[in-house]
Amino acid sequence: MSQRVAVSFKINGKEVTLLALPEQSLLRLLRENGYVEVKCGCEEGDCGTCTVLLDGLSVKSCVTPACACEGHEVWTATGLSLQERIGQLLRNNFAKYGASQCGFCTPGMVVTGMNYLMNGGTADRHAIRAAISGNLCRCTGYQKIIDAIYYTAKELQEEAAG
Amino acid sequence: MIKKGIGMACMFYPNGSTGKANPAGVFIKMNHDGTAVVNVGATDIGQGSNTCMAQIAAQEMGLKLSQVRVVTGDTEVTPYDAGTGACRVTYIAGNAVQKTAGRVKEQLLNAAARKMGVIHSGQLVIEDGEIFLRYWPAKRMTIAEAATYSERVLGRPIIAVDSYSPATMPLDEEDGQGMPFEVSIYATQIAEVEVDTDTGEVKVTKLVAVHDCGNMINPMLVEGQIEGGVATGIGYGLYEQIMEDPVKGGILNPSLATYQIPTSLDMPGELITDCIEIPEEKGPFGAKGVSEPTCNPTAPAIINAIYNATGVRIRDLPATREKVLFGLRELERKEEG
Amino acid sequence: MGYQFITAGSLTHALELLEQHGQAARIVCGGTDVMVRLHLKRLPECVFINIRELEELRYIREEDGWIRIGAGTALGTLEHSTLLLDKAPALFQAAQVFADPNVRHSATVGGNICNASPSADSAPSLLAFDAQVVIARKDGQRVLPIRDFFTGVGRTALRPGEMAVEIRFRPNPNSAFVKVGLRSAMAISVVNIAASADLGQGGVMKDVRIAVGAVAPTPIRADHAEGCLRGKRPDKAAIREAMDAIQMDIKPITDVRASEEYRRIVTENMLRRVVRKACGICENEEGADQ
Repeated sequence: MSQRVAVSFKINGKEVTLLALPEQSLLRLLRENGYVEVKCGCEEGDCGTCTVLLDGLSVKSCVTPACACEGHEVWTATGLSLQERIGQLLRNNFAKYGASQCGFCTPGMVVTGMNYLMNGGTADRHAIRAAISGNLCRCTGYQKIIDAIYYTAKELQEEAAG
Repeated sequence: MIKKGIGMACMFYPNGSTGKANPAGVFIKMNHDGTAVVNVGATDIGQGSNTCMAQIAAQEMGLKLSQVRVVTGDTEVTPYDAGTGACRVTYIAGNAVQKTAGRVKEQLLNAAARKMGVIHSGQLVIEDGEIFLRYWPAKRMTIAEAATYSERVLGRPIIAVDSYSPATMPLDEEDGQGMPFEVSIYATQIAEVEVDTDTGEVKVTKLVAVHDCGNMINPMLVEGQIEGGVATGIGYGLYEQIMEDPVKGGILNPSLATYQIPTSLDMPGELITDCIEIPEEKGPFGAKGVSEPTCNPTAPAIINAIYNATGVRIRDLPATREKVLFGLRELERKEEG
Repeated sequence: MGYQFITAGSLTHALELLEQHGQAARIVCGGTDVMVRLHLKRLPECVFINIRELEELRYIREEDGWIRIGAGTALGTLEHSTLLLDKAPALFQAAQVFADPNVRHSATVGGNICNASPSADSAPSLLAFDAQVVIARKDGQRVLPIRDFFTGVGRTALRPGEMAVEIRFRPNPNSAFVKVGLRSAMAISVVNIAASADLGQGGVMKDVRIAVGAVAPTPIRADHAEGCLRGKRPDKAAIREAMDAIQMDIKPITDVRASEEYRRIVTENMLRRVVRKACGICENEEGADQ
């Protein structure tokens, strides 16, 4: 049996120390500790619903070793959409444009969308389409998700322009 | 080389199971605070039927949408329903909700008439959580007051149960005649594709989907369902297949890496949806389902577009790159020989 | 005993750990391959040596006529590198279509070649550049041509105690990469192919290197096809000849993704496409389709 080890990192802005198995994924560690907004889909890096921000970049937490997060910073969809202003805008636009149907892909889509917006993504539908190509959705046909990210980018651009 | 083509597919599809009873049950209770709990057998599987049922109930009972709570998906407390399938939820469960809500409304109006001293409840209007006299709108009371009065003074808590099952006739085993469905829905989709003759890759560049679902209860949900259905249809037409091991049995592609559903980049850059709103007189507020026809014509439209672009006729789905490429080779051989 | 997870604080530390744990050691960086294998229960108990913290393995730079890429550099970094765009477009293009944007944030070049999948998307470009893999161990290092690096499906020339630390190659702007998968993103290649041409007077290819993936147990160089093109202009006749010759280079199999026959046809067609792209000829110019 593998021995659990303490892993300290920042999650949604808060310092935590969690006990992780050496072979555990970040996804499993987060879910075990109540961060169930990080959804468990395929666990093979294909579906993207477990996406989190790791040091500001969107990664699939099912293929991220938990122990490798020591000293790093993780944000989940809940943290981003409650604590980050851009996240609040994006969350509101997900609701406004009907970007969530069954909702299973939504947390991953929100995080990937945030990665796009926080790294300077503009209101460009094709670029958004490419940015979310690692997140599968079975209900929406992606259209309304692209809309939500597009209109958020547009709002941010308009704000910046004054 | 890239070859372009356009294809179309038209269809009709029934609402409800074929030629047999397939009821939906509903149970509604009013609370003292004027909110209603609508207990629906039909389960929301992500298409948004809970919202739709709440809208139908609120409209019929004269409540605000925020005053309606829908409970589904728990067979311990919800009434019987034949299931979320066969495009039947909006039409059949919607009808059941409207019928049951109508009974609640009747009880509310009767209670209000007693409280307000009105002889005939037909003189009352119920709207936005309030009840008032048609010719004297200033004389009014809230639904909460009516519900409380009914229970506390008249001794009749407001509850109603009803169900709906479409009138059908089983099909005759001899000649296939009968009346299998009460209503049908219609759709047409047109796909524009680009076929790469070097690889057999088919890219859907544009798709127009026009649907009939009677009156739309919730246009955003209808649009979302059409877009999602098209994505499923593209998967069905071009990518998705379960591969079985012919020797050992078992599935050869049991993961999302090998069973490929469309990604955002596999969707057409231009996807246009529209609805022809012709009210269905038997439907709740003129509505029918939209559901399955959103994905059914997609694959045939794509297959026709591939034929239009290349002359290759795909007879079994999905139209994988391999099948299209081999089809192109076959045509070349025929032309040469 | 179970699994163990040790984060290396420096390259020296990582190499010491590798030496110490020998066969039991397994390097992990992005985790995108290792974690999938763990999930599928295809990874026996081992000691993970995490090299994610090693900044010294994350770089793309040009010096002494080489482009040097640290093994720990993420594909997402390659995807945005203007250096690669200008001087090694084949690798730049491969990074664009590698898995999906989120995986590219984690997956590294070193991981992609050390995982030694026959369909690894970075491999054909590196083979076409005649890249060299710098392999380090506790007491020294050696350099291996990438051609000799892949030894079989999932197997490399790395010995216990060794790790790949750098990939380097001579830049060539006349290079290109083409991938055929089964969908537009998150696709495992059915065929991937890269070409790198040294163009001389009148567009003659003084030398050309072509590499193909997913058509043999390892990504391979297409020697026969190269022979047909060397010293010629990339015209219809030369390319046609190379298309026939490449059949002798490849040994594709039928699997869940595609049949042997499909791979053979597509390899031919993509050879034409990639050579023309490397030589800067537009796909729709005369002779693009024959």
